Amino acid sequence: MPDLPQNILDFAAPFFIALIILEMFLGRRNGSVVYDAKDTATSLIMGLGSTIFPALFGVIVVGSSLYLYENFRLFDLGSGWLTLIVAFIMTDFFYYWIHRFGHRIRWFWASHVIHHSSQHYNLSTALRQTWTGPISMGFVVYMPLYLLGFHPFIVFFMHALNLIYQFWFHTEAIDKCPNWFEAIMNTPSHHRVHHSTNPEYLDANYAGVFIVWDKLFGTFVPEDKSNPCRYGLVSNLGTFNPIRVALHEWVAIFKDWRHAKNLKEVMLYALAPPGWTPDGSRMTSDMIKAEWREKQLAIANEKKEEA
Amino acid sequence: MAKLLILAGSILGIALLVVMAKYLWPSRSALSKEHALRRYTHENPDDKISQTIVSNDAGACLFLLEDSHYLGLVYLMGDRLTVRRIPRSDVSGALVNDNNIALTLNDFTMPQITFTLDSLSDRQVIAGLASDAILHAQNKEVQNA
Ligand SMILES: [Zn+2]
Ligand SMILES: [Zn+2]
Repeated sequence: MPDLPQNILDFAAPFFIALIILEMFLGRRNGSVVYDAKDTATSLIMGLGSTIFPALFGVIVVGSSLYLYENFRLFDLGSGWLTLIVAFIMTDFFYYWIHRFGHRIRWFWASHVIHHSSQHYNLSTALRQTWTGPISMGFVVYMPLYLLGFHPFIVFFMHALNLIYQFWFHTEAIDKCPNWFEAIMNTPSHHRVHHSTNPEYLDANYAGVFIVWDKLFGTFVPEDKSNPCRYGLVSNLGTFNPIRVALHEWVAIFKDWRHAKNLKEVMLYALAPPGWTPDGSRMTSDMIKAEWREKQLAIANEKKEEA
Repeated sequence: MAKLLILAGSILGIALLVVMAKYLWPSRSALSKEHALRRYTHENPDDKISQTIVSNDAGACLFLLEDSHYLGLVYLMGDRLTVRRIPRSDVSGALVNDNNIALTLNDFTMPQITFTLDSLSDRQVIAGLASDAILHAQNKEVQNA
């Protein structure tokens, strides 16, 4: 078994708190950062809950991962330096896909939506994490790594490192990083786009650590300063209650299931993109983007005619 | 034991950060009629508004629409706004206490909106929405019987 600490997120907590205090003071001085007490309380309570509730399912996540690794792995990749480096990159690659599914499949979105439910974008937003991740079962996306021969504990460790990396870029206090860094790595600028509800920015920049995955798979959108980010959800929450925040999309799925007419609708209410309905009465992100493109086209045509 | 210490430290940390947020950004947000209207029409440009009711505490604004099956709402969430266009049938009731009317909604993400209103006619309009909801519920029962 690789000798890697499995609780590094616990030890990261004091650094998170210290960095939030730093962001508060620096950001307030130049006006780039805004906190709201109620929003901050909800984000931080969600963060604390996310370290408690998913752990209740730990046996299932760890057990199924170890079972696959012990019985079906193709190779034994050990825990040498090269394996650790490749594991970090591969975990980030699969994280990209978990995150992309998290936005495009409602069953995964029901968990991930929590992270996007604040209308603020600051370091406390980074800690606004789901309580129901194991129910969505996003962890199954990592399973090919165990079959390849990466020990699950290495993958869990790399996943935790990935999340720790993601903490710092949830801020408006940093505008742009050096060009070479922006080209390869996920940064505050790239992730601001990801948290935005502007139609042009929807479904973009899913990366964890390396932004190159978005560039490779066609989901990269750069931040445009002339189009300031509006953070939150397409339909924002009207409550700070952490339990309602944690469960709202699950409740919505169950409500929709009650009205489903057949098995196909039951499946699509859970597996189609968020916003899907049989009659198109709600908007998916694709519909929002299409509507926005149509409007832009109409405006451009109007201008042409005027000229 | 270590886990309990981490938990206690996290709770203290949360309390500290929330107090700092409150102290460094004291909430002075208020919702004006113009601001609410601007935000609502930006998100729902096709809606025709027939009446606007703003809560005295500037925390919520309600729009009656020409399409009477829907209501417009703009609600202050801390220092941000939540804008909704809801079916009128989502209003499930109202709790009245002097000038305060808490409109309860069939919406898990926005279960209640409180209005403080001096104007009797505004209070009657809001209470009317709730009584519509009660009638609506009764009709359903009649239909089901
Ligand atoms: Zn996301
Ligand atoms: Zn984020």
